Amino acid sequence: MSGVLRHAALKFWARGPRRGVPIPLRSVRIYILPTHQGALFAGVVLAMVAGSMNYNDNAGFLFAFLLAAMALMSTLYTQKNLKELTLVSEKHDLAFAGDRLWFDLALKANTASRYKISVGFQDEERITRDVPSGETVTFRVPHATEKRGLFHPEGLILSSTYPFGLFRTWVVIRINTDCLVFPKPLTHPFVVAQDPSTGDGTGELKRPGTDDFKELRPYQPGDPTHRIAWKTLARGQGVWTKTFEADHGSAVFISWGHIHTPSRETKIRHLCHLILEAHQQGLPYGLMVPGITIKPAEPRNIAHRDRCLTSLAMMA
Amino acid sequence: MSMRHHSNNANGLRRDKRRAKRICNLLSRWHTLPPEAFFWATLTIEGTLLPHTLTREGSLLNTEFTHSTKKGRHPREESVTGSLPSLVAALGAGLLPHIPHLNPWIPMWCIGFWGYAALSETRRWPLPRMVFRTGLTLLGFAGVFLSTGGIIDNTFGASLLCVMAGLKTLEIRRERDLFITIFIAYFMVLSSLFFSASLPMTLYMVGAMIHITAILLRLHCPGVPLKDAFKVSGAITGTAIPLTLVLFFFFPRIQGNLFGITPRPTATSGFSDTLSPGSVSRLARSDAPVFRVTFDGPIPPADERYFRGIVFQTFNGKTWRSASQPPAGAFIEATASPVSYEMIFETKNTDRFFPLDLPLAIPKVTGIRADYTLKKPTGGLKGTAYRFQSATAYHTGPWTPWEALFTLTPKGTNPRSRALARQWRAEATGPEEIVEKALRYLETHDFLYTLTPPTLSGQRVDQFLFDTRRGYCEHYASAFTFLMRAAGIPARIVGGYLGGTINPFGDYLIVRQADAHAWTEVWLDGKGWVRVDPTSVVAPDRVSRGAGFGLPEIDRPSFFLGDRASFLARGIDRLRLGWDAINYQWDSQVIGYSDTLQDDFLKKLGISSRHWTGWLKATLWGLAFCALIVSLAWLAVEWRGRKRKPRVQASWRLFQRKLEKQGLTRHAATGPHDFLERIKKEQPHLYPEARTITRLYVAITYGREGATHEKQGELKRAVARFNPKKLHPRKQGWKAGV
Repeated sequence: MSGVLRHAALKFWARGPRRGVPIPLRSVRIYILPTHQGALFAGVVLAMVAGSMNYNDNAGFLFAFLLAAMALMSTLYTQKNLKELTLVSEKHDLAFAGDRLWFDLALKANTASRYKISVGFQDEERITRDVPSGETVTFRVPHATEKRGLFHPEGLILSSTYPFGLFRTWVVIRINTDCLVFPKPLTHPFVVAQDPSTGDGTGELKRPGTDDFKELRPYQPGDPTHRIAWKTLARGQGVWTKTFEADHGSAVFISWGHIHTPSRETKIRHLCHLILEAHQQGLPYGLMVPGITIKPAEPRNIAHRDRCLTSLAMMA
Repeated sequence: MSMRHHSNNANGLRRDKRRAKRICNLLSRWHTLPPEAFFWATLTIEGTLLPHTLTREGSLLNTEFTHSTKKGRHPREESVTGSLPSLVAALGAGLLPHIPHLNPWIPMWCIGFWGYAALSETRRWPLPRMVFRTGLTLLGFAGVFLSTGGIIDNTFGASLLCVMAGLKTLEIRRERDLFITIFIAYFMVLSSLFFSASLPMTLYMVGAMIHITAILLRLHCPGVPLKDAFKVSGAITGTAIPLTLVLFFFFPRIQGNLFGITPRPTATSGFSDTLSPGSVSRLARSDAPVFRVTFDGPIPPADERYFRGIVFQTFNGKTWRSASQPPAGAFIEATASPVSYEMIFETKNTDRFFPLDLPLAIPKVTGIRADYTLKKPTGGLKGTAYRFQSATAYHTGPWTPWEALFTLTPKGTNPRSRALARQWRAEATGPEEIVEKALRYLETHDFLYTLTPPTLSGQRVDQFLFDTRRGYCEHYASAFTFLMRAAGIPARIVGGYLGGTINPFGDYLIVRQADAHAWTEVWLDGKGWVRVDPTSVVAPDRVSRGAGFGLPEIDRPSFFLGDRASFLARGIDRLRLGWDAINYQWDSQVIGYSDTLQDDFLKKLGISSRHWTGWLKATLWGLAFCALIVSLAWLAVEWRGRKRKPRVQASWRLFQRKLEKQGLTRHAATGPHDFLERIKKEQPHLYPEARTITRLYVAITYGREGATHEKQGELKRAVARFNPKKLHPRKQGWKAGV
């Protein structure tokens, strides 16, 4: 029940257009409500007022009203603490469906130092930090992803309980950003099609060539350790990586037609796995899915891999 | 439905009756609780129960952590590490005002545990187990019970709270504990107000609030520098004070008690129910104020300011007592226009009313008795103002049989006095003449008015009248009353206060313990009870000028200012009176604020509180004031944050205005550096200074350090110094000449 209510409340709060950075928080609707501690505080103050009323005890009245007035005045500082910040930049990583998508959100304190600023998406982990005066602090916060495709983060919540923790002020921001979520890879035997322009185009089941040694090339960070030419290294001739290639040595196509699974989504996930596999093996590969054909590019090209993965992610 | 319930449920009815009786018992027990029981209940929930529920939770976690950590069996979470010294500082501010009325072991207890807790973190001392903590709690409870004698009153509550505050530091484990501890500190400050709500105490409370709140801020947001924490806390408290006052004065006050829980009268020192030589002179050495009086009209002269408190009825040869309860109700016929006035009593120095002789109109909480004294107020004497009306000239009613009490003398005592009285009676034609003779006797036989008379024993009245002849007012009143009764005239001793000090700063009367006095009343046919003050013939100055006058120099209390007091002493006395006037205002207007004062206050705003629309109006007024204060505070907060940049911008704009006059106008799209280049090209003689200014501006606006105070000042000074007109370009001709 409370979950439903919260969701409805969030929808209500988060209405309005999406906005791009920089977003001065001053321009966003700002909310403030007592925290649990604040409610406890209010209860105690009310009890004190009731007691003072009973005994006509003016000292009690004074004290209770002073506490209440201080709590009330602290709200001005609470909202000010958040309002003077600007969300200056937003960056995010790439993620596979089911993984967490990490956002780097930079907040700048334009005037004085701001304290105890929490940043996080609804129902996600929150990061709490201080933002010193005039500086920019980056908050790295996660957002869970469920399915592939374009994804617009909802409900980024920036909040603060400064100064006493009696009140929590918050803003809900809809950042105008597109996050791409790749399909979640699902293992599948390696099936490729020959490059239709050079080969016969028939599907062959081939293991990626591990026995066909191609050449040694200088080691690059990220090369798998089992590919390092240990013998060369032992001879003191530097670090080299052995490269292998499939039988044909020519480009292959990862093709929609070779995956025989009834479910469309599963097919996409298998294709995703194959692309990653091919990329890791250092094969030149292309992608063939209905409506899209991506020609093979040179091996280990990350841009190419991402292009292929993007096409998969965006498949209708 | 209800019918059936009634008819066939006799058992239920009985059960209900039993239950009702139990509830009544419970309620009646409530009645016996002290006035602040409600607060103490709240405190106990916060200060005592919560820590114990936490203890239980803590112990659950203890078992999990026992093996994993060697540090303590009661580990602290990371969020609370390093917080104990500040907590102790907050609690200390709460303990300080309690020290005077606590048993000395309690502050020691607190300081001991606080010290241990504060040091345990760095020294890696173990924290006590739950069993041990429970033991300490019980020990603390027992200690409080023993040291307060088990009487549940303010001192008991304060002691308990302080003891708990001492123990609480041993179980700080989570962030929530910090919050609760801060609450305990707040409550300690609040509870000290139950003992004294004087102006200095209230100012201390505000200071302590700032202190504790700053600590709360630092605990909640550890990144805030200490100085800033105090600044913010001070600013919040400062802005909260006007709001507090609005809430305070507008919050509806009702007469009587909200829940029908009446506080128990508290025991105080002051006039006792018995009078024996020495009992009034004991009070005469104290300058503690008893009450203050504001008269509606002019203050009556000193010899009319008899404040009546108690009437002593019977004498046993040694002590006068007020043994029997006089019947309620009295008859007074005023023979002069009555005097209206307001009294505020010092509740710690008296528990009874002292109206001006004789009271005509009295507060609702009390009643008049046949001896014209007032009953002790129901619910105890409060620090609020009470309104009275009195007649300084009066006739009392006819003789009532009850008053036969005032004719009795102890048989067989003081024969010489009796003989003297009998002689006067034989000689005189009427009772007035006997009174005259007695006063003449006191006047002419070398009686001395003194605070240090020789001690009396045996036939005390005889000894005083014929041998020692030295005494204070109670001696004279006692002897005179005895003589009158022996002569067959009904007479009695009245105890109260006479005179008082007029405070010129507030135009009110301060009556101190030193003004305590005892005088007599005799019953004369046709006149009723007539006041006769035998002291007035021995020491007329005492009556006409006030306490201290008429006493021999050696006897005068140290605080007494005679005619020959030094200039310095008079100055100090004026300061004291001024301070008393401030405190009196505070006590009468703030601490004594009541439904009647609120009525007056609202009337000034043109609101009548008689009708509900009046209350609605008052509420709207109050809310409007609150809104005004909050919006002003909001503006102040908003404005403060922005002050910084405009100062830099103002300097930068001034710099540009100065250059504009030289024909150099910066386009909005030109950056400061490009603008500097233009200056260099077009008016190179301005370049050196312009460079300094531009560099400063860029450093402030875009640099890492930002707008520090020094740099802003530097920029401002540089721009102020910058005067393009005084900087002359190099003469073209000279250049051409080269």
